[in-house]
Amino acid sequence: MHNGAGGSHFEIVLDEEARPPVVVASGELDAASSQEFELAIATALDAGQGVTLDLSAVTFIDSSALRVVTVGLRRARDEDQAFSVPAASAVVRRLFDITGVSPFMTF
Amino acid sequence: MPPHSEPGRLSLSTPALLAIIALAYALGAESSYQWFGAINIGLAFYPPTGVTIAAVVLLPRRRWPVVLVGATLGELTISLIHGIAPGFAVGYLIANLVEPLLAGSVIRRSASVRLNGLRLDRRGPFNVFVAAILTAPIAGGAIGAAVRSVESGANYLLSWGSWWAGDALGALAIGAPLVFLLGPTPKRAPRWELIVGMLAMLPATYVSFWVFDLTPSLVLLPVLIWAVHRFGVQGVAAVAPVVCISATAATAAGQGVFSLATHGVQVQLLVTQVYLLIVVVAAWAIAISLQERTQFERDLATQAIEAARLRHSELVAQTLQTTMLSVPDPIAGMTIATRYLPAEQDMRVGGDWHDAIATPTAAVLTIGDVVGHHLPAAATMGQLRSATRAAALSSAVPSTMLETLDRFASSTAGASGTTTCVITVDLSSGHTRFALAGHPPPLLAHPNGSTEWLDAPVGPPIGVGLSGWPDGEIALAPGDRLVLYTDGLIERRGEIIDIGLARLRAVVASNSHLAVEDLLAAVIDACAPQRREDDVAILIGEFVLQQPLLPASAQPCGGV
Repeated sequence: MHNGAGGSHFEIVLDEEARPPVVVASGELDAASSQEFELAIATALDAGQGVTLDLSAVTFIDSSALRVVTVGLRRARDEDQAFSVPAASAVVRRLFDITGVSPFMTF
Repeated sequence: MPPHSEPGRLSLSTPALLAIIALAYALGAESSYQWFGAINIGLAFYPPTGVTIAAVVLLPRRRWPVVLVGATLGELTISLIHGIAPGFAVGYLIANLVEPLLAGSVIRRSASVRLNGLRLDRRGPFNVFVAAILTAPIAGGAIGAAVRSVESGANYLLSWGSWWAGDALGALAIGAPLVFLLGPTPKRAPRWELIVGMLAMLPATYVSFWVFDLTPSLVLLPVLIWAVHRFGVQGVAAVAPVVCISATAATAAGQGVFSLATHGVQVQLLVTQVYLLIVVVAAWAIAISLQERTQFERDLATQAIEAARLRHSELVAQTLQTTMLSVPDPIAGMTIATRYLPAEQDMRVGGDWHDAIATPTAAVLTIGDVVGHHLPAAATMGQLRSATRAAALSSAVPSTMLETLDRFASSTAGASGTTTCVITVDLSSGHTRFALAGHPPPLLAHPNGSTEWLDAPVGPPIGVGLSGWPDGEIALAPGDRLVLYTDGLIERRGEIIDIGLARLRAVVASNSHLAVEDLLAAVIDACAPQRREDDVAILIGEFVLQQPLLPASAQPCGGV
């Protein structure tokens, strides 16, 4: 997938077989990718087994992707599901720290 | 139409399809004997070629065997009825099966099959013409003419030419209209004029051919031109078969100007068919290019309307944004400079805001960022900015304001995930409290050039159902400045956010001698990306020493 406007490139892969399901995102997480990102996380949480995000190959993340993560976090908390981000690039990790969402997830 | 059926695709059961192909083929073949001279010369205008070629174009490859079996039934039946020996009948059959296979393969290669049917690429129409009227009938004719030569001792080259002309005309005059009528092309109901025009063709041809031996161009060309001009592709699809059938039938019956040609009926028919081929190809080509041109113009108009609508919506959004983000009212004790920069691309506004509010006890500085762009984000921003004002007037504690805002954002469309920062400065003492909701930390700059981040524990963005926004505290001295900004100022692709933060800190530190407005300009110069994808809001507030409060004894107090 690519988006002409921002020239952003991303890939979102959902492994539904894994327990908990794993969402692997790579490239640029922004407005262009957030819809797909949100769908992947929501689908993973539908299984009721929690979700694991692998964001180690994310090179850029902005506020729209952050919103997707916080929406997922909220749902996971409400449904008592695990929301873990064991692998995140420095870019992602710093944004999570700066924006105060880190305390709500397990790393 | 049921919702899942593929529009325009033939979805018949195998027996029904087989019966239809066999019947249509047999009728077409028999008409060639009855009306077009095949009974005399063996090779003539051959409508069945149009039936098989239309079938392979319209049907998926897996259904082609049904088409071939149907054609075999039709061909053999008619051949045997007309007394062709079984061996020769099989020879003609092979020639007639090669044609749809060849044409179908070529046409399929130049077309992509999508959910809603067949789409031709740029070279598609050209390839279809070449396949249907050149490649396939020439190949079929090479076989068919050989069979014919052996069967009747006819001239091979003349037979080949006749075969080609008869089958090419069958493909063009019968096959193309069938594809048009049964295929996925959007169709309008035929107009009465078109039907009248088609019916009028028959007496017109009769009069011109039978009665006056007129050159056919006098009658056929005006009608075809009228049909193309008035109805485009639909007109050609309707009129071409009528033209071809009537002209060929007339010539085969020994009428019309073509029947005057010497060298016998076969040459007369060959000339007729080549003439018709040229006329009908020209009509199709003009109709298709007219249609493409109309479509192109329609696309252009749609794009122009869309662009105008977008420009209008952007203009409304910009107006909204600039109205809402007006220069804040002056606050005694605080010098304030603000700036809003839309995203560079299309001057696109987003959901960033800044505000400075004077309450009875303090100055409240705030900045925020609604997720998204365009009019919806600008509208949501306006609501959140107003809500922040209300919260600032009802509480003096930043964390309490954020809790109020969080509840407000949870029930406001588009507000989920908003990041914001609220700072209250007690203007009499400099005592300052702040709270952050998912927002990057404000920068505090002292007059001596030293700087520090206000990065007390940051809480989550508002409106997502997460909570916990602790208050940070700090004391401001006169001359201290607070720099509030949104992420558009510090975030760049391919760069960790710390680099943007460091860049901001460095430019603020090295320009501490500048007045607030000039510092703001310096920050924008150094930090705002040249080709911004995101909007940027900045607010810089300097705590200035107020006039010392009058001693209590000096206050005008009635009665003293």
